[in-house]
Amino acid sequence: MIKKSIIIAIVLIAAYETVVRLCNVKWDTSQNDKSANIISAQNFIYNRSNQQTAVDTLIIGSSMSRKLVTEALGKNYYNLAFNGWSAYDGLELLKLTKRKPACLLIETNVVGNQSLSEAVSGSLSPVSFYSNKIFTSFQLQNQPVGLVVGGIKEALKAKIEAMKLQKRQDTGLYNMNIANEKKVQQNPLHDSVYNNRFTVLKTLVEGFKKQGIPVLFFELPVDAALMNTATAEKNRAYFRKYFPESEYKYIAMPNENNYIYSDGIHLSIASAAEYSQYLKDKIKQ
Amino acid sequence: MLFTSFEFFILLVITFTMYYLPVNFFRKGNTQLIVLILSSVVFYGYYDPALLFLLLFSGAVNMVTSYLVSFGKPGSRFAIAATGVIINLLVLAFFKYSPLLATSFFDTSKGIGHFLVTIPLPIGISFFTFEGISLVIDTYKGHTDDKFKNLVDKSFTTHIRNSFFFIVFFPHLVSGPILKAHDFIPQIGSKLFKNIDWQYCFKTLVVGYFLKLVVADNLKDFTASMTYPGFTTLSTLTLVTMLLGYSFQIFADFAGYSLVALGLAGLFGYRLMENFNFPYISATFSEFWRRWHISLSTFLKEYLYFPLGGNQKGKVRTYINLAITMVLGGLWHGAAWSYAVWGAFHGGALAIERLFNDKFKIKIKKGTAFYYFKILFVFLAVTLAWLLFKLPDFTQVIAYVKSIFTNTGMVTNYISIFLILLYSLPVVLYHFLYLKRQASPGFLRKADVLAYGIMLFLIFTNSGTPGAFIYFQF
Repeated sequence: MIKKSIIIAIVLIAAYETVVRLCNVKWDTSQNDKSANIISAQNFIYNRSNQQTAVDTLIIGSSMSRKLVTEALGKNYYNLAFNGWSAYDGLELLKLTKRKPACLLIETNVVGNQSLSEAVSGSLSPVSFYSNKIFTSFQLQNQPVGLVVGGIKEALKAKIEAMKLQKRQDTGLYNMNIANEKKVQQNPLHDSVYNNRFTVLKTLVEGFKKQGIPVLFFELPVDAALMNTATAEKNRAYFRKYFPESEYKYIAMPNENNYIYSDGIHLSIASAAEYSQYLKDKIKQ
Repeated sequence: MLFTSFEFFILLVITFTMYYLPVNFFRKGNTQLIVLILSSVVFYGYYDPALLFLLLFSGAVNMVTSYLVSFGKPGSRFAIAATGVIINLLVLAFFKYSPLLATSFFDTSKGIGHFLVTIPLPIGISFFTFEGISLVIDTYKGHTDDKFKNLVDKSFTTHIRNSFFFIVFFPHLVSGPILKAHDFIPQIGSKLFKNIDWQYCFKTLVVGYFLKLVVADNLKDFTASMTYPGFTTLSTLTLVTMLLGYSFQIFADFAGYSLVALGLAGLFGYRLMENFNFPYISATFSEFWRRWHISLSTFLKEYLYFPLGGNQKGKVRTYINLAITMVLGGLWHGAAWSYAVWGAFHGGALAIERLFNDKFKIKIKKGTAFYYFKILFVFLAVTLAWLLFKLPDFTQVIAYVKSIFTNTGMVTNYISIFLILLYSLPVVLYHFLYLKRQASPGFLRKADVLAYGIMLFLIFTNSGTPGAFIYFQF
């Protein structure tokens, strides 16, 4: 029984590996925010070469930056922002891969936990690295369930977009999101936590700066009601304390906040494209 | 170490090889035990070696007291055993319940409150402390009950080795099953490679890893949205599905871990007690507790419910004993009042069920519609109570239930609903197959080979993102 089961598993893996390689699916196979993060990280680790990264401007940040439209920013922009995580995770991943990008564009909106997901660090361990490189079917983006669900999402694209729009137009829900976010942001973390996190962040950023990589900070706009919460103010103050404007360049926020947000924090698709254009212009300056 | 980590795999291979080295010297039980003890110490102290001091202290207390209970002065045996149990409980209380004490009665920003709230919770403390208590009590019982005789060897060094091995054997060390001395110590001895029950090990390991990696680890990334205040903006259907998903996740996570533990112990020639026996087919709450976390429920029954008097002191006392046992069982899980409420919920359900059965003496035939209705009822009640596990703040539990009723008009993400149900399906099939095979044992037996092959395939290609075992926090 044991031998037969193992043989069946090997045959299934071999067949599936062949299918994955032949089909080379292009649609989004993520199943949730976390899997989307791991897929992004694995794509960066396994499928983006050192040479490509060397000419890339990397966008580092949270789910807010993930909405940015890299095509609108121009050639050689690569989005390494993660849902629910912060700039720390992207920088730490970059450090572990020992790559040198052309420029770093770091979002300052979120100051998150500082422990890199085990799934990301694990993807760099020698065993995972080589097995995932050799067997593409072992990569998270090629999970059987992900491929099927990705296909369904692709087929229902119009309906899903309509649902998102319906959600966005529900003002009651929007206001609830704002109220919840206000509640979360009214009590910022203790100064000792901030100092610990910023000490780590400073070490990381300075490490890249010492290698001659230019660093630019930017803050994404949010709904006016959330612009000046206690947490937002504290984040700004700490960024300027640890990364003074005399030494680091900050891209100012647009004067007008006419953007549309899906939930008060994340830019809608159209607004994300608009803001990306703004960012592009500012970077040029 | 996690059973799912690469480091653990390396440790397992080295330990297994050393354990069965074809050299007579190594085939003697003594050396085999030393190999397993050393390996268990590495397993426990790998990330934080300082934790080993507590494990050694706890082990030393139980080794010495159990020896003294066996061979000390007959007149002082009870006092020694009681002292051993009290020390165990004090250690557990200090590390586990100090933060609860602090947040309930002190100002946590300064002084003693701050000190208590910052005490770390050593991993596995609830498990190895209970095993220590079992060692001391079983040894004490050995003077009057043959079942518990000969647990302590006359040679102090042999006793130290056997009892420390009983406490630290890595498959059960950090998350159970909670072993009882009288079940495990008699198994200690030389083990031969040829006696390994490969079929048993293969089946438990494949099902265990499948439940953990494919079911629980995938569900976890959906149920992660069950946090306050985020869940207040989710639709009724999403909230209900996530709660069901969490119910399946917690089963898959813990039953998966327990099965892996059983399979690993089997590789070294030891049989640990089954910890789960298809709990979601239970038609009563008492049946549920005979099927869920069996090692804890039997521990509580033997070492708490029976000493309290069990059902031997009249009906009212029986209900009170049930409630006390379940509330303490709830608090064993974690230092938050919501765990006590969870225990009280189950204690109350058990007491009401008993009262109802005593009064009406209704017997329900298996296979009838009412029987299946009761299975569904018990499952839904148990699932609702899991909210107290997921949201240890009681006000958040209320908010979650309230949102289920108020968020009916909100937009639902059907893709997530589909995925939660899809990843829950194996647990449903697992239980369904068991039910079906009770009636006709040969049902789909020939498909077992294919099922294990598919599970292996999915372990490699469809595992979720790594996550710690839920019961590690207890």
